[in-house]
Amino acid sequence: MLLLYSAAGFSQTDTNRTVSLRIGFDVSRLSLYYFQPERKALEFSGDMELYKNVYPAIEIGWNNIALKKDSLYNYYSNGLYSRIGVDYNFLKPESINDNEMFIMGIRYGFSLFNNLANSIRIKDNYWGNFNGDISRKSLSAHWVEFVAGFRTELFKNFYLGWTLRGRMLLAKTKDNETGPYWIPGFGKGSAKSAVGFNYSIFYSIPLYKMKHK
Amino acid sequence: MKLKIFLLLIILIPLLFSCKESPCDLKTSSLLQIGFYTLKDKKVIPAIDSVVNIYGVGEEGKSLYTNENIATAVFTLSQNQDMCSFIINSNDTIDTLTFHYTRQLKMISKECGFATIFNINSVNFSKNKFDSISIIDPVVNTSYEENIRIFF
Repeated sequence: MLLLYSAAGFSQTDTNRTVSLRIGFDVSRLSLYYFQPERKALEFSGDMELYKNVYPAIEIGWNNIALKKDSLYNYYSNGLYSRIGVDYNFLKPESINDNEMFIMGIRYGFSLFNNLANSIRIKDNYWGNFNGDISRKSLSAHWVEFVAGFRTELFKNFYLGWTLRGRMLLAKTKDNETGPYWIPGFGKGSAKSAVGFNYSIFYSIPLYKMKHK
Repeated sequence: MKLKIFLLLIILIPLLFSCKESPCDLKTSSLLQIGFYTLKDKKVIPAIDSVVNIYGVGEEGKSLYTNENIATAVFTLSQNQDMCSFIINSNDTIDTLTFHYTRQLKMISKECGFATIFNINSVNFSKNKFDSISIIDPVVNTSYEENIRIFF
């Protein structure tokens, strides 16, 4: 496979670089489900080198959380999110179609979701325990996100890569309660900032060639 | 180069498996804290010379404090209604304190569940021994800071 890749490679003098639409699937969400079955999540991404080293990027995801603690609460959060932004590749390609990347980027993220809680119980030995619910509400949140990570082409058109993310909440729906506990695509709703991580596999669809000097 | 990056990719895999469940180590009871003060030589000083009995109205059998010499007291507010009253018996002089508040539920953590956060709107009080009251911080949460000052 690697031989094939070399044979199909371009010579050093070729300045036409293949521009591809790269579709990614975050496999870390699957392992998350294995270790934290109360969290179900899917995330897809797309990016493309529109200008030299500049990759506009989009991520779309879904998150469903069902947290249960016997005699304390049941909490549910379900929703969609998207992040739109751009990555910049700082690694100089060794040949014209070399696809090693160290990327840094920025995203604007937003999430539309709903959350509810029931069977909430708070212990109080003096006045008596509290039992209550939080009814289902539609909520939204948006944030900015800084991205850094590596990506490499393992086989022709197949990539593997990871990114670390730092998120800063811009705003969330104000409601009567102090929640939400969980914002899909962001993290804990009580925090102003959050860190994230992606580990994705990608397939890139070659589209056209561009000058890359 | 390719190998280097590939190794960098592999190194991160253990990170995926590092999430562990921990026991609840956070407070879930919101307590109202009151400081008792008195004026002495035109200075506000903590009132430590009064012996108090404190209990909730309707909960006469359950004292929060019994014959105690205290300058600060913590109160549990009722989470099932938007007001509650306490009797404060200080050296056999009885005063009544009534708190009016709004309540919010906050999820403290996955392990600990929820807590009620109170926002004190007003305090009604009798003036047998009490002189005046000031609300320092109307938000009663799990961080236990002085909320109200009572001046004798």
